[in-house]
Amino acid sequence: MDEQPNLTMLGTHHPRPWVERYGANRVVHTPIAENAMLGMAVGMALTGRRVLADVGRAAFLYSAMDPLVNQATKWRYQTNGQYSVPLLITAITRDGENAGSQHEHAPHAALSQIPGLVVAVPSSVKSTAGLMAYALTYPDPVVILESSRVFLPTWATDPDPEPTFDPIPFGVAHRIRDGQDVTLVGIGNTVPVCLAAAGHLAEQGIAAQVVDLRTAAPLDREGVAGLASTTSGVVLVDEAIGPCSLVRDLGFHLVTSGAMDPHRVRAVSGAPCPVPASPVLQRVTLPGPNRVVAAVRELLDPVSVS
Amino acid sequence: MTDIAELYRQLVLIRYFEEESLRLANEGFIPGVIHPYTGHEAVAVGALAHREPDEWVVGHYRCHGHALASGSAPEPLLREMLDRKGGICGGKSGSMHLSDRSCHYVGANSIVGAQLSMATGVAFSEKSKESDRATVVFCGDGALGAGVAYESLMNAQRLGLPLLLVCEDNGWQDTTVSSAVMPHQPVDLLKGLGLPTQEVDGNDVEAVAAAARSALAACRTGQGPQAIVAKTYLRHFHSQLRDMAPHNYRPEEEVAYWLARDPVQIAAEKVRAAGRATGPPRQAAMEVVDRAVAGALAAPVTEPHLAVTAVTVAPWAELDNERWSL
Repeated sequence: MDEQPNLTMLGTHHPRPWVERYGANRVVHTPIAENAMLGMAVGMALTGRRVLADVGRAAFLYSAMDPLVNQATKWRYQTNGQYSVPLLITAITRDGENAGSQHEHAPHAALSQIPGLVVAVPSSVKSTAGLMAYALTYPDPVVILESSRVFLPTWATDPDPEPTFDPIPFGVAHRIRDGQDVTLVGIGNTVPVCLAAAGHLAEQGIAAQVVDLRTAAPLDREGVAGLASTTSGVVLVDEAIGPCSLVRDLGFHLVTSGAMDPHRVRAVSGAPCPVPASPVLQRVTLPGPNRVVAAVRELLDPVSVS
Repeated sequence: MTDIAELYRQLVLIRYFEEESLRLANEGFIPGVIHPYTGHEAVAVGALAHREPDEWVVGHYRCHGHALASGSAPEPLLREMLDRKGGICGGKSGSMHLSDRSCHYVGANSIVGAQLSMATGVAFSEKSKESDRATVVFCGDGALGAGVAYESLMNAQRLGLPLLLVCEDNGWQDTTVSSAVMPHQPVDLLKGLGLPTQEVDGNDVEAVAAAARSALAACRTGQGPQAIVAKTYLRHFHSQLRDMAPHNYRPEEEVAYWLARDPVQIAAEKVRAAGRATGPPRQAAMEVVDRAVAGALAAPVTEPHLAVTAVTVAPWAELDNERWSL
């Protein structure tokens, strides 16, 4: 905000000191009307401002799909490059809130089907900051799907795979733990899951390499292939449901590029249901460390798992 | 701009451009859908008659008149519509999404109502720059049924945005008569929402221009958003796909009443009443269109490789085994 006088924030709530410091022309309170908020953000971005629009939750993004899909990500194309749209949208996904199916969404794969839209899914506090820093100098629309984990009081106890708060470029998968036996690939909330699973596997004598995808789009397929092929197998872990998911896209690439034998690739996805509010129900629908460990054991020694 | 002969020239420019577009569509030269502006000419010309050239204009899919009245040249528009090289949007927009940044025309939005929220953002940019510039957004009466219209007008008022909403009220939304689906007249709805609203005869270019002049002045002096409801009528129809013009879906007496109140003829009478000749401005406008039509028809087709260009500013890496090619 200090470095870019044209940067304007829109949202339903802002820290009061920010409003006082930057003024009402740069920190704008909006009513609960995400559709009009994003449309307004697009209009501002078309006419010289850089905009950060916080819709609050990914769930509320659905009220604003028209300005995201039909305006923000189309205006440059349909005007043949006359305009650009430097717009960052932030939205919380899920983890630890038990808010139910209308409030908890992880739409990174679905949003990746919008051509040209950057979909960043940070796994930690520092990766959130790093991807946001990069997004705020990026010329095109970006959605950052933030985990609610990083906003909970327990955020400080979460492992942070990034060493600094430096800007993180899009489309670069990051190896956050070394290991030569198997590769675990996660994004967002499944990154700490993979790290926990790697810890359990280490106790069992299996060295797991962990990769944080960081962005669903651009998706660093080549980076993942290069890292996975140094090990005996790869387990792709995503909280979203399996159909049309990132893990199936990555799996396809790993196999068709020749990086991995088809028998050496596994995917662990969320259950095919909406997100239940009950913690007991939710626990069984999500990929946890135990399911990842089981997938690794089955991958490395199918006969022994019965 | 208050010279009636010049206003008349602009009306003829749009009318003849649209009649030629319909002719070209009927002869199979225009793929996709066109929404003719015939009958509405005085709204675009009047609304923008007192607009500063650097005041942004935002609109909807019935956009040929908006683009021309914003100052966009006819030939690149026609090349766009005919899918020829040199189209204003490289073949990606077609008739419905024309845009010309060089004359501050943000462009046409084909999602009903969405142009209002976009226009609030444009107006916000101007207000925060303290530019003393207004933003003009066009919509139809049907757009006032969209939720985003309500949301946008609330934002515009609370933020005191310098936004002029020009509602082209022709009483129909596609093939549905608006009174069958909307409980309120546009002028009552907008006034009820708290907007200073003028209802004018949308077929009288001088009446529209006068209303716009005062509304734009109010916007520019920080009095917040303003609205004009211009009562008008489509001479042809809502839209046609390729060469398939629809049968008349409106009451014949209603159509006859409005055809007799042609905004171009009304302006011609005013030109003559002012002791001026209609011939020269009419001829000038028609010659411009004739040259543009000839140029567009002679142009080669759009180049296929443009399909994957201008998606984003930043390039995206492509893998060898996933590189998309023609």
